[in-house]
Order: sequence, then C-alpha cells, then structure tokens
Amino acid sequence: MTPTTPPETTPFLIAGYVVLLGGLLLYVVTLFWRYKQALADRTFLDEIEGAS
Amino acid sequence: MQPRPTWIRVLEIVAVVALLAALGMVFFYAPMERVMGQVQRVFYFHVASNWIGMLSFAIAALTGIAYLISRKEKWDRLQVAAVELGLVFSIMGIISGSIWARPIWNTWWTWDPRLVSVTIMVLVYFAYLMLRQGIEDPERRARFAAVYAVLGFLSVPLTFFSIRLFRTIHPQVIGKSGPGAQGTFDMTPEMVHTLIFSVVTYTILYVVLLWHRNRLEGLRREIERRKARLESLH
Repeated sequence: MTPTTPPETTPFLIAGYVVLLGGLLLYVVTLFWRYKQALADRTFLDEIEGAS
Repeated sequence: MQPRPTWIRVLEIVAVVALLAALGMVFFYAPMERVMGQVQRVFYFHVASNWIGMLSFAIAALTGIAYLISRKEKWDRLQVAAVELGLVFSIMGIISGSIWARPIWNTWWTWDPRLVSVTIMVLVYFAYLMLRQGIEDPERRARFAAVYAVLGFLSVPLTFFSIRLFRTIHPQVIGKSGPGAQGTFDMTPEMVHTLIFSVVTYTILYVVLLWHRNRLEGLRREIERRKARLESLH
C-alpha cells in the first residue's frame, strides 16, 4: 500500500488562526476602548453635575 | 460602576493561561490528520467558537424569559451582552470554517444546509440589534427585544440539527456524518482531548467577556440616564 502524503494546507491553517485569535483580540480591544470612552463620559458628567 | 470581584480576576488569568495551553495542544499535542493535513487543526477552535455562539444565543433567550417574568433591567442588559458576543463568536466560526473549506471542499462557500442555517442565525441576531436601535422607549425596547430573543432562538436548534436533518456535505462532530459529508475524519484520543480542552477554554473566556460586556452595558446606561436628567434640567 502506498503511504499517502497530506496536502500542503499550512497557509489555510495560519489564516484560520489569524481570524480566530485576531477576532478575539480585536473584540477585547474594542471592549477596552468602549470602557475608556464610557469612563471619560462619566468623568465629564461628574464635572458638569458638580458645577451645576 | 460594578467593581471587579476576585473571582473574575482569577478567571481572567485562567482564561489567558488556558488559551495558551489550548494553542499548545492544537499545534503540538494533537496529531496531524493524514488526509486533510495541517488545516484540520482549524477544527478545534472553529467548533469551540460556534459552540460559544450557540450558548450565547441560548443565554439571550433565557434572559429574555427572565426579563418577561421579572421586568428587571439586569436581564435586558445581560441579553444585549450575550447577543453581541454570540455574533462575534459565530462570525469567527463562519470565517474560519470558510478558510477550512477552501482546500477541503475546493470552495470558500457553498449553499449547504448548515452554511445557510448558520447565516440565517447570524442575520436573525443582527436584526435583533437593529430592532433595539429602532425603539426609543427603554421599557418597550427591552420588552420587544426579550420576545425577539426568545423567538430568534428557534434559529439555533435549526442550525445545530441542520446537518442531521438535511443532506449536507458538512461533517458531523458528534455522531456519524451523513453519506455526502466531505472532510470527515476519525478522531484519535489526543484529538478528542484537544477538542474538549478548547471548548472548555472558550467557555471560560466567554464567561469573562460576558461579565465585562455586561458591566460596560451597565455603565453605558448609567451615563444615558444621567445625560437625560441633565437635559431635562436645562
């Protein structure tokens, strides 16, 4: 029986994990960014409410 | 803003360590599949990602029921977080599946029952976000969204069972694949361990992300309320 050689599919493997891990990282970054924005908004509101 | 409890800090560290360990298992512990080659390794995180997508939509449906019974805002908040995360994980699952399909099915995309049903599921939940944007009154928005999240959940079992109910080329992980399935393989014990570990890792990661997204939603709503109060004063 002739042994089978698996096809060369490494680029697809890399692309798959770039999407899976990159997507996760991107989501975490957007979450962090939204937190930052919300905290800045809250500080701004604290200042306005303190002044009024 | 809700302070970060110790258990979530611990879980954050566990999630990062487990993710690195899962990657180690995917690339160094699980053997290479002899027919598909390296690309088969996409399978571990692809399955985990889709599992989280479906789990998240199930949580959205449960929070919908909880909201309709109790009318407590916390359920509506958690529901938004669950839908958003469900979409993120489902989309990553679809794209990674498409990348796997290119060398195995010789196409990026085909209108197979599983691929169609998962697309419908994602569109259903995109529509959920659009519905929320379209309703201004918070109480009404929460009520409509809760009903929609419960009804929208019908698309999840449809997606899960599509490979069992219809003739499909998509392989089946649990149970025997259909006769037309392409890209099937027998899992070795190492592959089973890697898959289980990946699914558990993604579940831990999901709990962490859901907690943070829920907290962010709480903060966002607090700001909205304060802005509305200030506007009413001036």
